[in-house]
Amino acid sequence: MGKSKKTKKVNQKNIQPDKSSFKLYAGAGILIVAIAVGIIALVMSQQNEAPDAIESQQVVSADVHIKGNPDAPNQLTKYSDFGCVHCANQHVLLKEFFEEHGDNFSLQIMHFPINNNALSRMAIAAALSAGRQGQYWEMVDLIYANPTQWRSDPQSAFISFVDELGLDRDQFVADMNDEDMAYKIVQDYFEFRDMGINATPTLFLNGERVPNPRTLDQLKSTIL
Amino acid sequence: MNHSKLKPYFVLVVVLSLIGFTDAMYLSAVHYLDGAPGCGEQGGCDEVASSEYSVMFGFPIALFGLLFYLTVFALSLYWFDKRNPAVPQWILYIVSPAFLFSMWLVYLMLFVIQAICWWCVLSASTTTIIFLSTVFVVLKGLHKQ
Repeated sequence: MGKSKKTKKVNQKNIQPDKSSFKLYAGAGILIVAIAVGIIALVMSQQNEAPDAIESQQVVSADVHIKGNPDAPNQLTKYSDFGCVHCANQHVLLKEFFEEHGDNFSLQIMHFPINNNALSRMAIAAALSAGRQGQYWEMVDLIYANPTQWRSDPQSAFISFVDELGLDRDQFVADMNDEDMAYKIVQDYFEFRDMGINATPTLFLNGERVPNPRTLDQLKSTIL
Repeated sequence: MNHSKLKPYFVLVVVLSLIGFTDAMYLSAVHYLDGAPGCGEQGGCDEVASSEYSVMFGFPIALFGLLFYLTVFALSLYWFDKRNPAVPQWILYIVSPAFLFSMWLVYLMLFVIQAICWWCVLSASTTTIIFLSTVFVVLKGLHKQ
């Protein structure tokens, strides 16, 4: 009896530090898992909360420009910010897509300058002003392709784009200064924001939300 | 052996590695859970975290950061458990390349991508502080006293 009691005591002594180690590692493990789960839940809740569907005939007060076939059954609407690098990437994908499928699709860009920022609004005005001389999409291409240029020195960048496209400089400057257009750009922004748009790019096909594609193949498999 | 001199160092490393882990977890989760990235009204565009430089060997760099912080965290726990004086030296072997890599990423962010990613700045800061404090501990020989 006495002997077994002694062994029991020795065993308990050996087990003691292991127990505290176990507590330490188990506690740390639980903490790590809790952080991981919390972060995943946070990221999932932060995803673009734009509506799943919009009215396809949304009233747009600024000038309207349609790419592709305006009467096509498939109407794409892209809420986009010129200052957003991902919008620029998506623009390249859509451009390639329209070279192949332009007859069956139409595209309209809804300009959504994130947080109503002045620089993006200026780029929108440049695109719309070029549009008044019939070169909206050409200017859109240049703005998306040269973000650092116009973000660092907008005035000289836009003038160089105007020269590159062979537009009338004076007319362009006059249109850029059109207060009515500037007002409508801001009005559109607030209207889109009230609809629930809060991130760019946000893409809709016939009013139904389309997940942002990473590649041309992904875009094709989603909308074709 | 005087453990009390090492305790503040390991408390600091535990806290920083947990902050770094949370940060790297966030960036990894964004990489895998968000569809294609976008720019939101609440935050930036993840221009850096979604750039071509954010992926290495097919995995997001944040995932390597996650493993790094987890290893440093585990080593610190091991010290609290066994009080092994060699642990700061082991951490130095891991944190030195991590620190150099971090500096390279900061260079890419500031001079190549030319955009700021605050989550990446936070991670670079935690790695730098872990590196500097470990260098201090090892050079001073605090772990050998």
